Amino acid sequence: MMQHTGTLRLNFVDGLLSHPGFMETDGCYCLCVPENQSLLLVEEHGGNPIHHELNMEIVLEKNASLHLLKYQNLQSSAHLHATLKIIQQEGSHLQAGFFSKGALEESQTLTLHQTGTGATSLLYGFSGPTQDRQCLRHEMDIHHLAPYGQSRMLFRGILDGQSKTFLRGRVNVSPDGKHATVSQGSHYLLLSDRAEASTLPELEISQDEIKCSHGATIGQLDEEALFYLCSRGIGPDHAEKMLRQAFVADVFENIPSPLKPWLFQQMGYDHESPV
Amino acid sequence: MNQKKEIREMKKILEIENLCAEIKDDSACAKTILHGFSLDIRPGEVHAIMGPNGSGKSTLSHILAGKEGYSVTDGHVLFEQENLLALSPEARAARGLFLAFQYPVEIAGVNNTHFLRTALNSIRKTHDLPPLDAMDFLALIADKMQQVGMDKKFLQRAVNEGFSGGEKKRNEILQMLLLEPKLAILDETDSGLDVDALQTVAKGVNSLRAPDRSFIVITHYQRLLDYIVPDIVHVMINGRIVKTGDATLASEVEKKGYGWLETDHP
Amino acid sequence: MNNAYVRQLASQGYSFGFVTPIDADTFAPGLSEDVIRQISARKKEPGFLLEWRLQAYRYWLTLKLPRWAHLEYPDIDFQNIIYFSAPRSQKSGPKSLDEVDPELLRTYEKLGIPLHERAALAGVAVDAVFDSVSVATTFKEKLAESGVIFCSFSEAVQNHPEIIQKYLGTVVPYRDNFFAALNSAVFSDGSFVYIPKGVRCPMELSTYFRINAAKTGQFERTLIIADEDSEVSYLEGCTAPMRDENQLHAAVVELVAHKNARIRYSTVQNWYPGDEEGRGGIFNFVTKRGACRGAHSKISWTQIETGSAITWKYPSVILQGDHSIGEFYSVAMTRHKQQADTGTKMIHIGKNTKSTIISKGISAGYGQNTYRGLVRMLPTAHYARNFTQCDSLLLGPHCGAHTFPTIDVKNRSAKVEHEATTSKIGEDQLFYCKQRGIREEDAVSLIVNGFCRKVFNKLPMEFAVEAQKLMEVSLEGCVG
Repeated sequence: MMQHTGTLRLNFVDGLLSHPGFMETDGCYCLCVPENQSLLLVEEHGGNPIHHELNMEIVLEKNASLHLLKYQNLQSSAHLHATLKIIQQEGSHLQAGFFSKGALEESQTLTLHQTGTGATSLLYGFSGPTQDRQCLRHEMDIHHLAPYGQSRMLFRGILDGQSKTFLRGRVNVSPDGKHATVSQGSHYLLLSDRAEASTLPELEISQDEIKCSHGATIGQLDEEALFYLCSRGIGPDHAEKMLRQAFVADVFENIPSPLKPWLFQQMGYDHESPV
Repeated sequence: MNQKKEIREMKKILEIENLCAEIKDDSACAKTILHGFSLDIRPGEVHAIMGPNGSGKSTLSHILAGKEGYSVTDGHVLFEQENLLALSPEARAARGLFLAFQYPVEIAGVNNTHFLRTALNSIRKTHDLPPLDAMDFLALIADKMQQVGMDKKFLQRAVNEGFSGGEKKRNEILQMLLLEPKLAILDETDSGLDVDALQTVAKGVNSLRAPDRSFIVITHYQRLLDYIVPDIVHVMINGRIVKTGDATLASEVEKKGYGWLETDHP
Repeated sequence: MNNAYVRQLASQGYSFGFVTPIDADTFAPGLSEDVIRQISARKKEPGFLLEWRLQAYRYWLTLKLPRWAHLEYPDIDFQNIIYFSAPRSQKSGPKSLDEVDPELLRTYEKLGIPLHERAALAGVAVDAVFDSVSVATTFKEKLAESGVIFCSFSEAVQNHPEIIQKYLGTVVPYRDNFFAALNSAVFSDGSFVYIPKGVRCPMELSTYFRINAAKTGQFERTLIIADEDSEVSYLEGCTAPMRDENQLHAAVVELVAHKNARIRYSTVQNWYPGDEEGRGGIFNFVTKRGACRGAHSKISWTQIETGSAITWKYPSVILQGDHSIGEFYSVAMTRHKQQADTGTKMIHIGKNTKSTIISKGISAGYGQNTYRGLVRMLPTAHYARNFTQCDSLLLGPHCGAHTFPTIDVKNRSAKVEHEATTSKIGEDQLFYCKQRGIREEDAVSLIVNGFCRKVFNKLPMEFAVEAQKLMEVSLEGCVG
């Protein structure tokens, strides 16, 4: 497995990877972050072709740290299927951000195994505003197989047109996963009559030394908050923009600082605006 | 002379001798908090323990009450000549030990009155006393509530749920008035209280002062001790007592802080 | 309150484990079209019902026993079950309690629900289903005064076939699932309730079930219809004897609430849970569903489940009428080797519909507790609202708590809020109670009670006391 540290920017344009030193074996990109090292990995999909497929396997060695940022802004009839398997060894830290802007259909599957003590994982993401008939599917599967693991999932989305989103966030805490701390949050705003959101936050807990919680909401911007802003002289469009900015704040704050201006802009949000 | 000394020895309600204890934190590493702590308390005495943050005050109160997560590595504790550390928390309570918590926990869905009556009746049972029925209990508790200035509506609420900091502390004192312990430990009961609440708390404590009842008042500040005047003041630093004196010691600490004692005893 | 029943509940172990040696009219084990025809003939059913049973049976034959991810059970031999067992009694059936077979009444005495006492004190009408035939229906006359029909399902088939034909299978069609199909084919008896327009049923209605003869699966069918502006509260409590082989319980309950009507359905379940090794308990596969057909109608399900070896049940509400309300309050406890896969479905179709789900699961021993919920807002469900709170408490290191909620929203003005927590009892809370002198078992009981408080508060008063007692008894030996 290839070892990587530092920053790695992978540009999947036209379906091809244009980065030397990053190899595919049997249709899968494998890499590992060595002990005590850290890696910022940016995976960007763009361009014209219709079908994009990506399979990746990553191992985080002891005390290694990985921040993976996945971003796609594919053209409106493209399909993207990505699978990701991650193994986290003792004391390792993972942050994985999923940002979706384009494509007709996107499916992201992540299977995460915390095999070492004290691993931490944060999965976060935002999609939207999705348009037309966009169809986004995220399946996140986290397994706590060792003690003192922490995992957190935070996903938000704004849906418009006839778009659909599906998120299954499954966390499995095995009898060996003692003292696990787990939380999940998924929140969606629906802007049109035909948009649809489905969220399935699942917990499988097989021992009692845990703290787990999850919350999910699907709804609209808070009417009272909108009114409050307007009553203070802020025009309704601007008020709505402010609330949407606030809606995404806790997801966006996880983006690594050097990439914030770029990603905020790609997703259509104002980086400078305080929330 | 010896006989008098023996009588004095026999009367001690609490004897802590060279107590050393460590806490197990999240990463399963042990950290020693009490380094040879010793203290004797006789019936009727009010002892104050002052100390900076991290001196081990709360650890001491937790260990005396029997909270898990600590291990005693040396020393012993006798409560009325009985090995206290060998008893379960509820057995210690039955023998008359009471801890007013610094951060009282909330218990959702458990009615405050029901909880108080269950506690009282559990302790009564161990003394072969008959349980109080609902009517008698309500009469008893109404009187105590007045003493601590708590509104009757708190009887309907769940234990400490949605109580402000001050209300939680009043609830602790209410319980103390109800259970009438032999030794009451007040763990930073004054933290977060305004003057009115402080006075009410002190009034409650002072009303229980009696020749057969003792108090350990743990506090960071001297303010509470203006209202609950202690017989003996101890300063605790790094897990043991470094100085003992009378009530004037508290004023001295208030003026000079803890630094002068810390440098003497690193 | 029935003291005998409460005393029985408070005693150690499972006190209802015994068999009544009554001369029962029992079929040989096995299932076939012939058996179904015999059941229908024995009950003197009209043609439409026999036809419906046969259609259900033929459909059932095309299905396979479902396998669920979090339930483990052996294959059920459906040919090794007796599908009809009725105690022999007087030809025309008892007209009052005085005419009921004394042996049967003694059975109910043992169970702690002497009909006399209940009749005299609580004023609750009891429809005591003994094996497959409803034995006595008290207070029929009193209810009849207000126009309320509360009788056995079999009686309703005889006396009100047009209502049966109108509603049967409209909320749970036989095609709904495997056990619904089986039930529709072989259902033995159950309760039938009809509340006419504008009537508030003057008393709580209740039913007690019992599975007696070996290998008799219990297939109750209950239908409750609340016409416009009416109200009814129905209680269901179950007990069963000890057995070595597992016994099957596959009931179907259908509720229909018309405009402005309210139905409250409460269950305190105490089926035999199996011994500590998980042997011999009841398999409880139940389909319960309510349809809020009319505007402003309301259906509430409240259940306390502590028994049965396997529980599979999802009381659901279809919120069709605008402004209709569905509620689900549940406490499910599993211990030893019990398994429960329960939850609810709230399907929002109409505008401004509202649903509330409060589910509390308690797992102990090697128990496995799974919550499976579905909240679905269809495109027509404008301004629909759901609030779900689903909490699990783990008592011990070997049990499991799992939650699989599905939240599906297809309308932009709908709002769903879902919260869930899983943890063990707070050490701080336990310690607080112990420091106040309360023993550990009592402290656990207190805290678990507090955990379930929101659900207990939804039960009719008599049941709330029973439920608490049941929880206390169930918690014994589960601490640590």
